[in-house]
Amino acid sequence: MSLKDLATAQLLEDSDIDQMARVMANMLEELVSLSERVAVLEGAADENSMQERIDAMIERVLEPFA
Amino acid sequence: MQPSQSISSILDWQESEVPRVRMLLAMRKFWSSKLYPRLRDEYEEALDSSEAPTSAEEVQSIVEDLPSMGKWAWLDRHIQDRLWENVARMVEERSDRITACLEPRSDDLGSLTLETDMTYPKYYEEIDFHRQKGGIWRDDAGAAIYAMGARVIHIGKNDTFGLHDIFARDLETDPPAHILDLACGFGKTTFSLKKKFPDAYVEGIDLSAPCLRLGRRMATENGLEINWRQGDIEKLPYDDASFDILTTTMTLHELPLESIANSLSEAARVLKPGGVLVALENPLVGEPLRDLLTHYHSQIILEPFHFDFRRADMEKYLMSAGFGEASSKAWFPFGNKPGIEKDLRNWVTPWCWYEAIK
Repeated sequence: MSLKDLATAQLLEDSDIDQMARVMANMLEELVSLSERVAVLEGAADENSMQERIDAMIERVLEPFA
Repeated sequence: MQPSQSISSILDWQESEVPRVRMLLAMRKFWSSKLYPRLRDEYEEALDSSEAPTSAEEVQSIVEDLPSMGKWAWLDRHIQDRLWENVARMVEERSDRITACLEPRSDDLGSLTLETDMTYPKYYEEIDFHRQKGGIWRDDAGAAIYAMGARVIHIGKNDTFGLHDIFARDLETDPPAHILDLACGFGKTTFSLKKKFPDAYVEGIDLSAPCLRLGRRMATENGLEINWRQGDIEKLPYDDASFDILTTTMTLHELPLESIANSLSEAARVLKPGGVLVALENPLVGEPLRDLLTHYHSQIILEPFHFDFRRADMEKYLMSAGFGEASSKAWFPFGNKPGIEKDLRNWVTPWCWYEAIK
């Protein structure tokens, strides 16, 4: 990384992309967990359909991948 | 004082953990049912604009340039790491209870024979198979992490290892007197064997002492009298012609080919004449893209010998080991229907049932 022009230089290396993707996935997991808690509070947490709800959320979030 | 909780209840998912486990499954579904078909589309498009590949190397050069290849590999690796990280955290929260629960008790069923100075194969010590950091053999936490992780793959469907019950159900044999489960781990198959053949002497052998301790506790809680022994399947600590049936599920592909040959020779030695060895494994599909991706998947999840195993002629290995007959057939437990693997857009892992008679 060049430190000569910190105002405009690319700061993250290509190898940081894996880590950034991991950060996003960590956030996604927290979101999934919180979303299920909200579903419980709202009385909409049918356990039998939990997998379907989470599958749908993952599909929406990861859509750019596919 | 006896611990009040069973090991099964300690390792059960807490309500707050279930969404995290189900997210792992959701990501795996996305990986196999969305990303893989995308990769196949890209592959077929690339084939349309080039000569048909004639070698594995040519297929590889096409696949490595596909836009979705890196994403497919990243997600594969990420799901695997996330699985073990999540489960390791869950086990850490339970560690005191697990340690207390695995203490030997006077009413434990069966026997447990551990080596005081176990020598492990070099590959076993060096490789964190499946990316589980530290492996399954160093401490009780490693065994517990493995046991919880093994249930993630089929949550709600294989929580009680029903796949292994189906395996035992499909063993076509007269009730055997002596059964040995090779590389039994914490006993997924061993439990099923004892349930199917309650009057038989059933023993499980594995390198991992923590897994054996865990297996014995689980067996005792389920009223299953099973004998557990620490040992290397390349050097079985049994007399010649000791067992009627030997089983091993999803083991051989974890071994270098030389170790497979040694293990099969030992299996033939300890079987009685007419005795049967049954091994459950995953073969190659026989289609270039699927087989190459399977190879990459094995690399990613740290199963370095898997591809060599899949390309080897196991029936030949069995015959060379001293068996009189050897055969293989496709096996279809729940979820897998005959022919589903022929649709190339399905990411299906086929099962292969190897059977050899001494």
